[in-house]
Amino acid sequence: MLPIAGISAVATGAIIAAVYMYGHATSNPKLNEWSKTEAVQLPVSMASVFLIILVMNSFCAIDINSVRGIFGKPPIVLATPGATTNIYYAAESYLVQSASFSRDAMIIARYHHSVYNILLMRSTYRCDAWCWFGNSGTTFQGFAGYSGRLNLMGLLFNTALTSYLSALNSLLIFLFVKRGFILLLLPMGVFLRSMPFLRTFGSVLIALSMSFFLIYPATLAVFSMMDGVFDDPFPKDVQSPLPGSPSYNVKDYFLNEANIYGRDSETPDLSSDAELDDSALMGTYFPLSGEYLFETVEFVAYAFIAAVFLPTVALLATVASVRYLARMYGEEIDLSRIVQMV
Amino acid sequence: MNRTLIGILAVLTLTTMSHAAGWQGLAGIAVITSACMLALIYMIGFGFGINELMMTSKEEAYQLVVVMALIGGFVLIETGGDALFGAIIGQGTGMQMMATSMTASKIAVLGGIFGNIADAESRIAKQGTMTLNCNILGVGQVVSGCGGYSMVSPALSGVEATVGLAIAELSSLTRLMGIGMANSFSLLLPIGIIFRTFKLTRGAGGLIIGVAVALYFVLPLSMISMWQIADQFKDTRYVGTAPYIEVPDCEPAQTSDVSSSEEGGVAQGMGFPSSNAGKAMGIFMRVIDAVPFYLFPALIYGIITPAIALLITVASIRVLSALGGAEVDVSVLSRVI
Repeated sequence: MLPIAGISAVATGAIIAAVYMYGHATSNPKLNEWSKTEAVQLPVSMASVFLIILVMNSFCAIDINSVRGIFGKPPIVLATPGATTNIYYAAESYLVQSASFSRDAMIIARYHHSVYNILLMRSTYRCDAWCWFGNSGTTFQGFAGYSGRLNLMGLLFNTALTSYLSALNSLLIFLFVKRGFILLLLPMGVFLRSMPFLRTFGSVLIALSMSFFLIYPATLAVFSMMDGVFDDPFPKDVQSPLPGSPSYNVKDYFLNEANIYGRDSETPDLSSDAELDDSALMGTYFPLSGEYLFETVEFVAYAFIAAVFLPTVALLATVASVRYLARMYGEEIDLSRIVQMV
Repeated sequence: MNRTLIGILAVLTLTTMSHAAGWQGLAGIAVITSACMLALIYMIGFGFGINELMMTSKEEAYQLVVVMALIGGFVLIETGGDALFGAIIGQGTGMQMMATSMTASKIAVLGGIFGNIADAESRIAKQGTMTLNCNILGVGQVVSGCGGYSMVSPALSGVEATVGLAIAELSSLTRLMGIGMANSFSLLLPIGIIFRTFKLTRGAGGLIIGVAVALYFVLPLSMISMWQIADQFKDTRYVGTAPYIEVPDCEPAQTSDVSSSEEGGVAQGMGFPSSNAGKAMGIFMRVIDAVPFYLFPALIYGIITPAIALLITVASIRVLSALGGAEVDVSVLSRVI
């Protein structure tokens, strides 16, 4: 990026010099004034480039665990051993964690949705007479009342899915910025800011670069240090109904692949009591102390806050910074003494 | 110039604030850090004779004074706000704790309503699925005499989903208030102050300060206010426990009036007509009477008032961030100095 910015600055400087010489040769005061003004503004634009590089290197050097220690927070547990825990790592880890959090909410909502769907389809036939060579009896669905819960889980699944996609969207924006592509806007901004009638556009490009590369990760890193964002409402230590079995973490139970994928088609064993006993069937799918329906509702709500609301605030901070910086760079920065000297 | 340098260095006496407990200490450290950076910039400008750097650091120092005034205002609001709030409502509970406990109680109420609806729907829907099967040697009939019951379930399902969504909305507000209480002044405000100190990050710093103050003060206050208003203007017809929905058993084989049968007599004793269709209609009318008792608390306390409180909070973020990020006119301050 630095060589491209340098080339851009040199090209802009050459244009300014050429215009100055032409203006001097033709005694055109307007061209002289423009070239003198831009000769002052060009170093300001280049100073922005160096400022971004300086702050970027600072962000790479700052250990986020040290910052967390200042605010009394525990250090980050590294997902990749040996990774550098700088500002950009903290920002990325927040977005990854929010995506994982909303994904867990999606999984649990889907699990409940599937179970209620199965329960709704369960039909019982009670034979009253002639049950050997004919039959006469009543058919009914004992779990027909779960249609409301099924509807609710469908809505919550869509909400959790929206949260997951929003988190992924924010993460992809961050990774796009982190790869540095947005820094290509900097050389363009340096060049365009010094061109006639394009100062505002050039300032917007510079402001975009600075905001997305500095403000966005910094804000996300701040959010990564907040307490209580990724707390789930499920009980952590539920006593197993089976004697001698260890206690369960409810959330881990619902996320355990063995519980989700262990059954071929989520249908109960035909030889088990679940075939004949409704409460045994319920116990097959909810073997702990209940359905944890309200906890699932709360979990989806918490995922929305972590994956949609807070990343949106980070983007708003970035956009606010873009507007502020664009307004500042869009004006001629007053360096009155230097202008007088030139 | 010397007075300015002394003024900036005098800010360093805020070192004593670093020993204060809680967020005030962190805010003091943030101010000190910002002041140190500005002093360094001023000294560089002074040393190299760059007047522009000295002018910039002076200007930013005035902004830092504004931030210190904001911190002082927050301290006053935090220490005096709880006392004032307690005097107004007549309780000693802090505003945030009161909002959190009110939200939890509303969630508990809606949870109870959800359970009542689920119970009624379960009883009604089970009866609605009953069909009679009868066949001898492959020849027979299927009679679905309880189809009238099945029309009631979709209505209750919709109400149940509405109540569930209201619980979800209140849960999300609980999480927001929890985040505000835990992080607004211990993390967001100090970092917002540091961001606000520098010209380049002033916009973001103002927004972070706005978010911190809004989550800590505006959100709980607006929640409490909206519920107080809702309590004042609620429709008293739908306050209290919903009428219990009795569900007489359905006989799938009975497709006509059976008032003379035992089942018909039981239904009449419960206040229902004796036919399946009559029973279904009777249940439907009872559901109509009960639904407002379910929907009123869900819609008013769980959806509309929290939505208004959130709108107020978002609007306040906009105002507070402009206040936190806007540059105060320093001409008067510069004359004083």
